[in-house]
Amino acid sequence: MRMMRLTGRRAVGEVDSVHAWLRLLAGVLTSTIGGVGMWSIAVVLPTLQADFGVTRADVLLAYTAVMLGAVVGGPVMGWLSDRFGITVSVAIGTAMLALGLALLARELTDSLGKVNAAVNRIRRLKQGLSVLAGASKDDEHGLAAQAKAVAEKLTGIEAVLVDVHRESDRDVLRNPSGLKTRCWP
Amino acid sequence: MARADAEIGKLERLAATEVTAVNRLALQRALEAAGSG
Repeated sequence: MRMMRLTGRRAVGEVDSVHAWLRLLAGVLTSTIGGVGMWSIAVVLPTLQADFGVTRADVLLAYTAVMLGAVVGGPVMGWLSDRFGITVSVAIGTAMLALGLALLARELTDSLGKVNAAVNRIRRLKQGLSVLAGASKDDEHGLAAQAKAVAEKLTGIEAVLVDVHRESDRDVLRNPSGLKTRCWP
Repeated sequence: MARADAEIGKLERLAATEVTAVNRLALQRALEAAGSG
């Protein structure tokens, strides 16, 4: 019955209807927005390598896993769409994407938390060294000088860590208010 | 984050060696001061 309906002149009109074109447009938009993280990876590969301190081969191994997932997942999603409708496959895709982004957010928050903890530790150490240096001012070549030298080294490390945190804010996180873990001014 | 990890490693080494040395020196000076006083 359905086959007969699709072979008629009216069936052709239904297939090329405005609703069908709008549905196609919505599908393309969903795929573009949802898949941009997957397809734009080639652009950010050098940044990823630098950020994680890994070789191109290490990064490409992860990317190969992503592509294998896409290749295997495509037919499975197609089968799900045919069997249960497009809503189910889009819902599964959305849930998996949300899970991936949530894991990424947790990883970033953990990393930035480690940087915060290190900066706070440096500041406490510098305060202690400053007290020591102040208490032994007459001891020019001994304790005070040594404390100042160590404090300078700590300042160098602190500058790099603060810089890393600022870069993460600017380049990776953009404006996710929930991920702001900065705890110093 | 590799850069941050490297700097945190430097911090650990500095805390374990030079900061400890300064603390030890300060303690030594305090003990000397207490002994002479």
